Amino acid sequence: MQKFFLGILIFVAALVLQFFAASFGFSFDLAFATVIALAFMLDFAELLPIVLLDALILNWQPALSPTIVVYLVFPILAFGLCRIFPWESWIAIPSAVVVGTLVAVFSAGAGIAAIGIGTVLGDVITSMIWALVPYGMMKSRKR
Amino acid sequence: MKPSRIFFYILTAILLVVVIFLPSFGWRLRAWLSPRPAQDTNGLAIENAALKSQLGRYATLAREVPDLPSKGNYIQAMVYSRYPTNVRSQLLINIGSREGITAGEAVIIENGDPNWSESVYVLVGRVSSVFADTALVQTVFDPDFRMAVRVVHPGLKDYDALFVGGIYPKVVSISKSATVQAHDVISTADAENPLIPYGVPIAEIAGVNVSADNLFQEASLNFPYDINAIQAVMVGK
Repeated sequence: MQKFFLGILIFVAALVLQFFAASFGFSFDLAFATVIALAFMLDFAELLPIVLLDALILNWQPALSPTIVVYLVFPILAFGLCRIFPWESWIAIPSAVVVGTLVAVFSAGAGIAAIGIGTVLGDVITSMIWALVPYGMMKSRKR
Repeated sequence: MKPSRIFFYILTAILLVVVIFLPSFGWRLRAWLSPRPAQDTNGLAIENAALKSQLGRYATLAREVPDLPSKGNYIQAMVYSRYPTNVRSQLLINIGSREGITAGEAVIIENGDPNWSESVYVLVGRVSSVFADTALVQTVFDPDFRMAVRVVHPGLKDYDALFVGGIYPKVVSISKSATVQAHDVISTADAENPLIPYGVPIAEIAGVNVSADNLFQEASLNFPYDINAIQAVMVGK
C-alpha cells in the first residue's frame, strides 16, 4: 500500500512538472515516463489505477485517440514484459521509457520531421532521466 | 483476498467508469494541476506593449480588407483541455454540434482592449472534430496545419504564400522576386475552405531568408499571443 501511495505522489509531481514545462512551451511526457517506470516496481493491482488516472488526466477529448490507447496499453505491456524478461531495472526502465515515448510520439500521427527532431530527442532524453526518479525513490524505500 | 487488493480493484472500477463516462472530470483535474496564467509583472507589461504594437499594424490591415469576422457570426468558447505534449497543438473547447459548430470553422481570438477603437481578430486555428458538447481545434502551431495565406504590407503589393504550422510556424513558397520584410502581416487566403474568412491576420513576419532549394523565400513569424495561455476563443458558426 505504501508503495502505491509513493507511486501516486511521484506521478502527481510528474504531472505538475509536465504542465508547468508545457506552459513555457517545453514538451516532456514525464507522467507517462513515471507510469512506465512504476510498471517495473508495482503489483498489477496497484499499477492499474495509476494507468487509468494517467489516461483520465492526459486525455484531451471525449473520445479515445491512438495516443491515449498507447498511454493505457504500453505500461501494461511493460509490466508483462519485465516479468518475462527480468533485465536489470536500471537498464530496463530507461529502455522501456525510450520505446514508450517514441511510440507515443508516432501515435500522434505527425511525422518527426514536422515535429522537429530536437523536440522529440528532448522529450525522449528528459523522460528517460526522469524515469530514474521513481526507480531511485522506490529502491531507497526498500532499504 | 487481502483488503488492500479489494481497495485497488474498487479504485480501478471507479476510475474505469470515470475514464469512459466522465472524461470532463479529468479535464477539471488537469486544469486544477496546471499553473494559472501569470499575473501582470514588469516583463509582461513590456511584452504587452510590444503585442499592442503588433495589433496596431493588424488594425491598419483590418481597415483595408473587406471580409473580417463580425461578432454575430461567432460564438465565444472556453478552452477545456489541450494536447498533453507539444507534439501536437490541439485545444478542446466547450461548444459542439449542439451550438451549430461544424468542422473547418475558423477559430479566432479578439483583442479585447477597450482602448482600441475597433476590434482586431487573429486566427489561432480551425475546428478539426466536432462532438455533441465539445469540439477539437487544430491550432496554427500543429505540425499538420497548412493554409494558403497572403503576405500583406499595407499600401503595397500582396504576395501569395503557404503557412506551415509547427512549434515554430513559418511561411514558405514566397516568390523570390517578392519584397517581403519584417513586420509584414500574414493573413488568411484559403480559397479551398470557405469557412475561413479572407484576410484574417495570423501573425507577422519576424525574418526572411531564401529556402534550402534556392527557389523561394521563406519567413519566420511572430505571434501576438501565447498559445499556452489562451483560455477563451471565438468560433465561426
